[in-house]
Amino acid sequence: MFTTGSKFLIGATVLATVSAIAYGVAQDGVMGTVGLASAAVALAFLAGVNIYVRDSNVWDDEISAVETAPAAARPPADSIWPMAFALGAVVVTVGLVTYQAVFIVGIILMLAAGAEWTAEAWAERASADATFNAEVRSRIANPLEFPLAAAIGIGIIVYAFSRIMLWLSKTNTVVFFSVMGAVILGVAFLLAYRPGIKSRAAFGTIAVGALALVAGGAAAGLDGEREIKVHETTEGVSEEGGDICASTEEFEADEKASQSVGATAAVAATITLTDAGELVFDVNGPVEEGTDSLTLPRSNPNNVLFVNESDEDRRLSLDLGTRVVEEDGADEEVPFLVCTALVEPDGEQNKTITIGAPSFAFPDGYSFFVPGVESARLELVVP
Amino acid sequence: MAIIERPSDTPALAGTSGVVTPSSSYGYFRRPVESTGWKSWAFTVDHKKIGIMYGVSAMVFFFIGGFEALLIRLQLAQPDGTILSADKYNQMFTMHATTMVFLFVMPMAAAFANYMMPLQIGARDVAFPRLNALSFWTFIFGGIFINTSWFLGGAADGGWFMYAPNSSVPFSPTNGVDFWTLGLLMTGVASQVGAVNLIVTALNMRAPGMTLMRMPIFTWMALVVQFLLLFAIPIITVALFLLLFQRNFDATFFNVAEGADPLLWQHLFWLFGHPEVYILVLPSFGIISEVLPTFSRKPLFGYPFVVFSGAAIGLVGFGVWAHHMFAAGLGPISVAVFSVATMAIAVPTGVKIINWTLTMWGGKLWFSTAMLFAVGLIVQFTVGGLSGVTHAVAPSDTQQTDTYYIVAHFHYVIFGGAVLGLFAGIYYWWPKVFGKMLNETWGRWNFWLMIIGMNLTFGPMHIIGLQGQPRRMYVWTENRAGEGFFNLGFWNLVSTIGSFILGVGALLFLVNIWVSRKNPPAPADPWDARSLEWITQNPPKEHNFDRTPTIHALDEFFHRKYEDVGEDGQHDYKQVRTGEQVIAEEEANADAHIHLPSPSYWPIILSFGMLVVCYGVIYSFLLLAVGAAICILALFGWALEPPTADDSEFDPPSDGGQPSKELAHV
Amino acid sequence: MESASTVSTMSRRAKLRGPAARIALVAGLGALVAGCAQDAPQDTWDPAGPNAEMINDLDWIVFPIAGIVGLIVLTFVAIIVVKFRDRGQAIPEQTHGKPALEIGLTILPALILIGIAIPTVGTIMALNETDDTECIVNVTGQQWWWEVDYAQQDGCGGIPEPIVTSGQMVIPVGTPVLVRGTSRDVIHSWWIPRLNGKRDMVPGRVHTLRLEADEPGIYAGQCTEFCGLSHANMRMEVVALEPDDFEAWKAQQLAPYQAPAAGTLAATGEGTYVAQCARCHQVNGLEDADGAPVIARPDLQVYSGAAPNLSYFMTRNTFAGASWDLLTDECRADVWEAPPEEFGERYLEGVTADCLNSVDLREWLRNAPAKKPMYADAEKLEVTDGLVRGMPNLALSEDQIDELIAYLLERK
Repeated sequence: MFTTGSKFLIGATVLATVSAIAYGVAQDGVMGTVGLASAAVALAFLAGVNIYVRDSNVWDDEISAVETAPAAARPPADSIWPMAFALGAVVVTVGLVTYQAVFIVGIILMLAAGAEWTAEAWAERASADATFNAEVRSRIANPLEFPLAAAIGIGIIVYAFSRIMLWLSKTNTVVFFSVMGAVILGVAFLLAYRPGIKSRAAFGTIAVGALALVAGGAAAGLDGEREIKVHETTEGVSEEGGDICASTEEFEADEKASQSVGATAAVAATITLTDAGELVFDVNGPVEEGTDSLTLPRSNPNNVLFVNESDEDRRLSLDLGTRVVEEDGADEEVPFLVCTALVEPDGEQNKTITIGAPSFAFPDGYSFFVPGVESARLELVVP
Repeated sequence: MAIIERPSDTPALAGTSGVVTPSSSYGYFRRPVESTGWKSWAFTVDHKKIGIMYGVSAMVFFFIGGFEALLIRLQLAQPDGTILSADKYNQMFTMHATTMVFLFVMPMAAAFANYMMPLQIGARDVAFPRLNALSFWTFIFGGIFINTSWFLGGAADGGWFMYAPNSSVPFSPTNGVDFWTLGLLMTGVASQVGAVNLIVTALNMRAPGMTLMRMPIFTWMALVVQFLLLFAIPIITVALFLLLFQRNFDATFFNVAEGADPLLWQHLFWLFGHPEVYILVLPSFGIISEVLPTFSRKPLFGYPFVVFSGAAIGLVGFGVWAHHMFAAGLGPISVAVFSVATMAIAVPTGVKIINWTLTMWGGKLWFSTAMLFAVGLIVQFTVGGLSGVTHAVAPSDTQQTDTYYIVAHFHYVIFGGAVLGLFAGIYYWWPKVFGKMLNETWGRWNFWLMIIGMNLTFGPMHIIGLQGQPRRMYVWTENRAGEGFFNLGFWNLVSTIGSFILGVGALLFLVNIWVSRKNPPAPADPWDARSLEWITQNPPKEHNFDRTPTIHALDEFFHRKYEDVGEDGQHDYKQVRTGEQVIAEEEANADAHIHLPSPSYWPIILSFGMLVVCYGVIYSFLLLAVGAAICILALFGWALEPPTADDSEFDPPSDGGQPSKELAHV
Repeated sequence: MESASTVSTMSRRAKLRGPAARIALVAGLGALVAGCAQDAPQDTWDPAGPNAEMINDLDWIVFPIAGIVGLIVLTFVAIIVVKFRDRGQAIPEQTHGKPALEIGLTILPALILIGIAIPTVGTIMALNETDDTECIVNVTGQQWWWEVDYAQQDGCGGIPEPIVTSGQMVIPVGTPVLVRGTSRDVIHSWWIPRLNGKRDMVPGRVHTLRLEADEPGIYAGQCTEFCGLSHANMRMEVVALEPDDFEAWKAQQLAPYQAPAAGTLAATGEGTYVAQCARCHQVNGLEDADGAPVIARPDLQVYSGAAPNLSYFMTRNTFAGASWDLLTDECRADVWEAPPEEFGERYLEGVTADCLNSVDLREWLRNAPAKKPMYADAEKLEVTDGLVRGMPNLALSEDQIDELIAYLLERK
C-alpha cells in the first residue's frame, strides 16, 4: 500500500511532530520547538511528495522502463568512494566539536572522495564497454592521483615523524632516531635475506609500522611540542639591556655564533688582542703614523675583524657613548655597547658596525675594549 | 530514490547493447594540424618556421633597441641636454643594452642556428621539436614582458649589469628591476632549453658519413655556443634568483649591513657575462666562415684550426671574467692573472682573423652584399679586438674602464662583429629561406650607410673615453670637455650624427625587404655555394631533404658539383653538375614514407603560463597561483601527448583519400 | 652560374670601389684621432703624477703595437680585396690550409702578447706599492657626493685633529698620499685621471689608491661606477698645493668657529641655519641659542646617513657633489687656469662675495631636488623607511636664502 520510502518519511514526520510538542511543553525557549516543528513540516512535505510519486520506483509491469533505465542496463561496480565520502562527513562532524585539525582533515577527505566518486561516475557513462571506461579513467586520473597520493602519504609520514621528534626531549630524540633507524635497517635486512617471506607478511609488518608512526605522530602532535628556546644574538641581548658586552661571562649568544660572519675581504680594520693584553689595529696600507686611534667613517657599514691572540675566550666590545631608548613611554638614556661573541684563542670574527653619531658628540668619545682585560683599550674616532 | 525492484522472472538483460566503438580522441583538445593561417605559426614545431619567427622578433627588437640608442645620442649631442630626464636616461641605457644583447643578437643567432643547423647536418628537424617551440615562445613572451615595464611604472634603471647594492629596493624602488629579473629568467629558460636541444641535434642527428670534422663550420660554431649557453645560463639564473629574493622576499644576499659583499653579484654576473659575449659573437664568426669561402670560391683556410680556436675561445672564455673587475679592488695577484689570461684569449681570435684573410687570399672574390658584410666584419672586429687588447693591460684598464673607450670597444666587437655577421647571414641565406633574392643595390646602400654610420658613431668614442668622459652619464658638461675645436663636445655631436646615419642604414634594410618582395623566385643555387643546406629547394620543403644524403666530404655540395681533373699534383676543377642537377638527383630518389613531428598547443600554453607566473610574482599571489596551475596543466598535457598526431585528427581530405601530410608552404 | 656572373658584372665598379673605399674610410677615421681636445681636464694621456705616468708609459708600449698590428691587418685586407677580386679567373686552388703557416702565425701574436704581458705585470705590481705613502686621506662615497676626511696623523706635515671636507681633496705637492676609500650605500668609483687609474669604492670594503701630484693645480675627476639617478652629477677634484700653502690650508680647516657679528644679515643667517640646516650639515663649533653645541645627526634624516660638513664651505670652490661652481666663470678661470706658481695663493683665497656664483647656489637652496635629480618620487619614502635620499626641498623663502648665503659666505 505505502511504499518503503513513504513509510519511512511518514514515521519521521510523526516522530518530529511528537518531539516538537514534547519539547515545547517540557523546555523553555522557542528555538528547539521551532526547529523540530520546522523539521516536522519539511518531512511532511517530503512524505507527501513521495507518496504521490510512489518512490519513483520502476515497477515490474513497466517493461520498457525496466529495459532502458540506466540502472537496469548495468549495475555499477563496487566502489569505495561513497564510504570514503561518508567517513569524511563523519570526521567533519567530529572535528566541529573537537579539534580544528580534524575538521580540516575531514573536509579534505570529503573533497577527495567526492572528486573520485564523480570521476568514476562519469567514466562509467563514457561508453558501454567497461574495460574501455576503466582505461579512460585511469589514463586521465592516474597521473594526478599517484603523485598526489604519494605526496600526501609521504607528507603524513614525515609530519608524524616530525611531531614525535618535537615532542620528545632533545636527548630522547637522538635515542628515538637511532632506534628507529636500527629497526628499519633490521627489518629491511630480514626482508632481503628471507625471500621466502610471503608478501602478506611483509606488507603487514610495514603497514603496522606506518600505522604506529602515524598514531604516535598524532598523539605527540596533539600533546604539543617541547619547550624550544630561540638562540640569542649579541645584538639581541644588548638591546634588552643585558650587559653582555661589558661582561666576560659566557652567554648563550656566544655559542655557535650563528649571527656573525667569520671573515670577509678588504675589511676596514683588523683589531688584534695580543698576548700582552693590548689592542692593536691594522688597516689596508700603512697605518697613519703619530696616531694611536682608529678612524672610521660614520654611517658606514664598517667591517672590523677581531683576532684573538690571547689564551682565553675574549670578546671585542665597542663603547658608543649613550643612546636613547623608550622605556615605559618615557625616553631614557642608556649606555650603548656593541660587541662580538666570545672568540676562542687564535680565532677571528668579523663585526659590521654602523655608527651614526660622530665621536665628538660624546665627552668620552668612542673606544674599543675587551671586558676582563684592563689594558686593552683603543680609541675610535668618527669624524 | 530510485530502487530497482528487480522481479525474479524478467528475462536476462544479456546482449541489450552492442559494443560502442570508442573514439580515440577524448572530444576536446584535438591537436592543431592546420597547415595554413596563423595557427600553423602559433602551434608549429617546424624548425624553419620557428627560425623565421625568431628572426622577425629579433629584428623588431633591433629597431626598438636602436630607437632607444638614438634617444640616448640625442640627449648627449649637446652639453646639459634636456631631451631625457636622469631617470628616463638611466632606464633608456639599461633597456637599450638588455634589448640588444638578450632580445636581438642572441635570438637572431638562435634564428640561424635553428633554421640552418638541421639543414646543414642533413636532418629533418631538431631533436626535440616541441621543446624548440617552447624556446621561442618563452623568449618572445619574456621579451614582451620586459618591455611592458615601460608602461607599468618604469623600466629597469640599474644598467644592464645591474650591480648590487644599487639594484636593491631602497635604491631602485620601482618594479623595473623585477621586470628585468623575471624577463631575463624567462629568456634564460629559452636559451638553456634551446642549448640542450641543439647539442643533442648536432651530436646525434647528423647524416651518415658526416663526421664531426666534416660538419659545416657554422654548425660547429653554433655547437660551441650551445655549450657555452649550457654552462653560463645557470650562473645568471642563480644570480637573478638571489636578486629576486633580495628584492621581493626580504633576503639579504646583497645587504652589506648583514655581512654581504657586493662583489658577489659582480663575480656571478661576469662569470655569465664573459661567456655571454662569446655567445654573441661566435655565431657570426660561424656565418662568415661560410660566407667567405663561398664568395672566394675556396674552402675555409685551416678548417681544423678554426674549429679548435672556436672551442678554445669557448673554454678560456670561462676563465677571464674578472677582467671586467680590474678596478673593483681585487688585489694585484688576481688582477695580474686575469690580465694575462685575457691576453691569451686574443690568440685564438687572432687565428680566426688570419684564417679568414687567408681564405680570401688567392681566391676569386665576388663582392655580393653578404661578402661585403663579411669583409666588413673582419675589418671592424679587428679594430674592436685590438682595443680589447689594450684593456687586457690592467693598469691601462683602470683608466679606460667605465669610460666611453670601453663603449667604443664593445660596440666595435658587437656591432662590427656580431651584427655585421648576422647581416651577412641574412643576405646570404635569404634566397634559401624565402625563395627570393634581396636587391643588391639596396643592399650596398644598406651596407655602406651602416659602416659609415657605425664608424662615425663609435670611432670618436675612443677619443672621448681616453680624454675622460665616463659612461652612463645622462649629461656631460662644458667644464670637463676641454678646449679647441675637436673637444669632447665636437666628438659627441659627431657621434650623434653618425648614429642617425646608422639608423638610416638599418632602415634601408627594411626598404630592401619591401622592394624585393615581388622579385621573381630565386635560382636553386644563387651563390654557387658549398655546404649541405643548399641541396634543398628554395625554400626547403617541410621535410627538408627528400632523402637523407650520404656525406663524403666537407663542403659536400661543392664536391658534388666540381671534380678535380688535374694531373700530377696540379689541380683543375671542372664543373660536372649544376646545383639544380644535384638537387634533382636527390629528389628522384626520395624516401617513400616521411614522418614528421606534429604541431602542438602545449609549448605556447606553457610559455603563457610562465608569463602569468612572472606577472604574479610582481603583482599578486593569486595570479602566481593561476600561472603555476597553467604551467602544471600544460606540462601534464604535454606529457600525455604523443609526438605525432593520430590520423583521425587530420581533417579528412576532400577527395576521400588519406589525410595529407604535406604541410607548410611558406 | 649565369645569374651569378650577371650580378657580378653589373656591380663591378661598385665592387672595386667598395672594399678599397672602406679601408680608406677606416684609415681616415684613424687620422681623425689626431684631432683631440686640448686641455681636457680628465685626459688620461696627460699624466700629472708618477702613478698616471707609469700607466701612460705602458700605454705608449701597447697602443702603438696595437696600432701597427691593426694597420698590418687592414693593409693586408686591402691588398686582398683589390688583388683577388673576380676578374674572370678560373676556380682557384682549393687550399685547405697550411699548418706550418698557421702555427707560425699563431705563435707570432702569442709572442707579441707575452711581450706586452711582462711590462703589464710589472706595472700592476708597481702600482700596488703603497708602502711609501706619507699621508692618508679617507674618502667615503655616498649618493651623490664624496666625503673626504683626514685622520689625526703625523703625515701631511702633521694633522692634529680630524679634518672633514667634501668634494675637493687637498694634498701637498710631491707627497705620495694614500686614499683609503669606501662607500656608504652603493658602489662608486674614485677616478682622477691625471693622477692615477680608478678604484671602486664598495660599501663594506676598504680599497686603497696611491695619489701623487707633481705640480700645484686642480685635477678634475668623476665617479665612474653607475650609482643611480645623479651619477652624472657626482664629481670631485684633487687640489695639489705647495707644502707651505698646504700648511695654510690646514690652518684654515682647523680655525676655531667665528660667530657672525651681531646685527648683520649673517647673524640672522646663523639662526636660520640652526633651524633649517644644522640637523644634517655639521658646522664645527656652532652653538644654538642655549649655548649647547649643535651636533648634526644626518643619520636620522638621510637614508645613506651623512651630509657634507659645511664648516669651511667657502674654502672650496664647488658644491653639491662638485657638480656646480661656487665661483663665477671669470673667477673660476682665475683659479683653475692659474699658473702653478700662483695657483696656491688663488685657491687659498676661497670664495669671496664678489666671486660667488649666487645663481647656482640660490637655485640649489630654493629647490635642491629640482636642480639635481635625487628622488624618483619625493612622496614615496616607504622604501627608505621615511628617510630622504639627498637634500630635500626645504621650501625656503627668498629672505631665508639671502640670510643663509650671507652666513655661508663667512664659513671660511
